[in-house]
Amino acid sequence: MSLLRVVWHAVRLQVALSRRSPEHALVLLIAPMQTTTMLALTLAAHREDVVANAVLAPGLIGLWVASLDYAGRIVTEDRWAGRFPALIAAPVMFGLVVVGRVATVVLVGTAAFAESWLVAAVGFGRRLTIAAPGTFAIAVAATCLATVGTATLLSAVFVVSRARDVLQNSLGYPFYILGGILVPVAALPDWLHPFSRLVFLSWSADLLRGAVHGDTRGWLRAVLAIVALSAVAMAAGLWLTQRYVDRTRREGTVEFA
Amino acid sequence: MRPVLRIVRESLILGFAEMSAVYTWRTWTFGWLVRLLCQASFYALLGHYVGDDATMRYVLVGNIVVLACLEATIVVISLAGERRIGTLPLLAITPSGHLPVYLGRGLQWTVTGLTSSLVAWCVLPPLLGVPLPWPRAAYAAPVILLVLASSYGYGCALAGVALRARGVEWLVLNLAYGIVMTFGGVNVPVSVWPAPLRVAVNVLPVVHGLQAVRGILDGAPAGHVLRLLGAEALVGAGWYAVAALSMERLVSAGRRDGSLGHAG
Repeated sequence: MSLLRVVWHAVRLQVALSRRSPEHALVLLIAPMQTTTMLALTLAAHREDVVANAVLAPGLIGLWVASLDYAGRIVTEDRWAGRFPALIAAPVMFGLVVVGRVATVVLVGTAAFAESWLVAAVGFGRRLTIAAPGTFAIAVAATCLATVGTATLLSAVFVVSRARDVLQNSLGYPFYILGGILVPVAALPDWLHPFSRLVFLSWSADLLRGAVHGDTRGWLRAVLAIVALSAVAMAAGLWLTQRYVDRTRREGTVEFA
Repeated sequence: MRPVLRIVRESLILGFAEMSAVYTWRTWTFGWLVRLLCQASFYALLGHYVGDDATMRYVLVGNIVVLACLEATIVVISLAGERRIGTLPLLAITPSGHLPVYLGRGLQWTVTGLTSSLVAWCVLPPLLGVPLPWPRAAYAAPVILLVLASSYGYGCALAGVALRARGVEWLVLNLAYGIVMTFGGVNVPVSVWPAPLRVAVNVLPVVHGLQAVRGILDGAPAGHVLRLLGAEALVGAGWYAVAALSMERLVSAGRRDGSLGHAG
């Protein structure tokens, strides 16, 4: 079976599962409320120049939530639901199936960008225009790729960790601050900058805001950084997933929930 | 009174036993609590970025108080969990009746909510450079307790929705908390919203309690603060009445058609 066909079947499986899970729509519920909160605060302070931050941030949060809350739980839920033995018995690499399913969830998360744009336009009369649409499209594509890579890593970490719920509940807001998704990294304390640059969100947020304002200086460096961080996370995620599959086979725990 | 206190005690024991399956005190402190502190800081940093120190303090105070509401409304998940594992009928046949037992199912979140909010109240303002006027700021503690109590009633009432529809508990929780966070005067004053919305938010928990907290910090007259506290208590009592009615109907319908034990 070709790689693309494996991924396509994984996408179809995830669509079928998500249709029966209303909570997978949570991202779409959160984004309009967050946009309203952030825009109201921004406009109440008469800061029209920060409107782009307030509209883009819920989209980035949507991607992170999709990655952390849903994509990250994929392998763990396969175990609970008893799908895991059948999936690893199939003659395809299990990691690829995870990637296809993670990509489906992340794709739904991107709708948060459209939602927050709509809330700004309809609710606040602020139509965000993009000065550099080409760069913006590249930034969104690179960000989605990085989210898929991160989610693949998270799904592997969550399934091997005993503290899955703790990690899942804790990795949101600290990363929103570190990622500079609302308040740019430059406005954070200096000592945080090196840590921020290890989080793909910080590059994505700067790149997206720059594309909106038409400031595309250093866009290639940012895209390369996002892709590199994505590749590292994806490789680590696939390696850890394979290691986990091998361990369950070796220890005879494949069928454990 | 004694049976009720016993139910409270047993509910807390059960709730914390459940929590200990997920958290140790270390992972709660350095995972969950730090996450909540980061949440309040995230919005406070935005306040500082778009405004000044006064904006930052306004946003920070709102986001610290609302942490109590966030945790109290997690009762939605605890109650929906009883539906999922099919134990609602067992709780309903207790000699004390179903209501105190159902209402007690998320009491552990009120303890953690109070702790989180008070820790944030003491730690975040000096850490972010917007200190509060102590010792006056200490009077906010009982108000946060009241906000917590009214938010818990709100959570119990909305749990009625999660107990009736399958798999929607996380949506209900996030919607419940998100509405308060967005429109309840947490980040911007209620007065910025259109008139119908300004009226509607009066039925939400936190709204009046938070205004009372801001009043205390600004040295408002005691009568004004007490009126706001009365409004918050009234709103909370209203939500408890909705919760009681909703659970009564759920149990009586469930007894009639045998659906109370259906796992969802």
